[in-house]
Amino acid sequence: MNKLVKGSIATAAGVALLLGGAGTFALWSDTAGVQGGTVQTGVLDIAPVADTAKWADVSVNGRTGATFNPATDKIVPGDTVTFTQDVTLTAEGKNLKAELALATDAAKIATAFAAQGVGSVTLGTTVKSGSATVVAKEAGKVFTVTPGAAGATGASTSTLQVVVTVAFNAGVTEQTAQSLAAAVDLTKLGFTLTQVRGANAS
Amino acid sequence: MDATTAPRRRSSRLRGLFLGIALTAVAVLVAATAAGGTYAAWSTTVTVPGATLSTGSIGLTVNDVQQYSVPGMTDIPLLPGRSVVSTTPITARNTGSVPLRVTVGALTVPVGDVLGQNILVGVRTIAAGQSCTVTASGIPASSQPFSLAPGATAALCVEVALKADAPATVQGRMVDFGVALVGDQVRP
Repeated sequence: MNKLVKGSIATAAGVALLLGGAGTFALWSDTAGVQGGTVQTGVLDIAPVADTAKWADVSVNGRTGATFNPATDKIVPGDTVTFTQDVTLTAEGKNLKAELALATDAAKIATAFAAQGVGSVTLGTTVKSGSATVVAKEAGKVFTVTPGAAGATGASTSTLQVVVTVAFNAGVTEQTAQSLAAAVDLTKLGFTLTQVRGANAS
Repeated sequence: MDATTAPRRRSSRLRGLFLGIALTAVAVLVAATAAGGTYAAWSTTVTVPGATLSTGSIGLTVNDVQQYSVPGMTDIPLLPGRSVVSTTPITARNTGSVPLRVTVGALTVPVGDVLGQNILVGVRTIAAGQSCTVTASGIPASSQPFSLAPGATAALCVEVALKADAPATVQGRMVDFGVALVGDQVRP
């Protein structure tokens, strides 16, 4: 380690000597101050809006628009239920852009329900208020969110309505995936907002 | 410092120098590579109160069992053009959580059985509390599908007739037959 430090110092000294050798030494010296200003970091935050979580039965031919109580109601082939939650997106910063997705482990899906063609869990989101724009990057999974113009506080605040849709395919046969106590476990449901740069930033 | 250790120290200093230069190069390379790609910078997660979803079930029983033998079918011998029926209705029950459309499946009889080929079976619903009676014409009406809500029951009569043109070879014979009730989920 000691050798390493010495080596680094020697390299730095060598570079300094090389640079110094190329110029001339001034005897006079002057300094001018420039007002650089203060640099501030931005904000990226997502927070749930209180009392906006709700379940609904949106089955095509069923109790469309009806409420759904996951504690007592059970889903059967052909059912589609949604969990809707409003979230507030706060963003402040130039070039700030983020991707919205379900958090890791947000949905635990039973093997029988996850089997090909049986059931699915998808994510959707729409802008409810504010000037943010949402574009699907990966349908049903990932959305690119671009915060809109900053408001009076300097931050861009928008409200997004996030919808988690659980669908049970009507095309299953026999007794496929019946009596699953935990077909879809959303007790650790969460949404992640991750800043993106590079190809996704314009 | 003696003559034997001096060259060794010099070479170890040189090694340190080269290592320092190499590390600097690696650091520059890593920084340049990272700046060129896509990577996550800030990240935030919010958790919301979700729930656990359970799936429902489908179930259909006859007299609370999966397979039920209808009693009393052999009490009265069959004659050509006549039918017999079990007086006490059987009960079909929807034990699942989905509404069912119940259809009566095809009659199953032993392959090649001459009596089996000459019987007709009809399954029909009757109002609760009633008894089953034979059809006056001796020909049971063809079985019709019926609906069964979750938890609901239906009283059914199973009537068996011997075709009027049955050959004499079916005399004095017995045959086991089966009829399946098939429940299919229906959307409300």
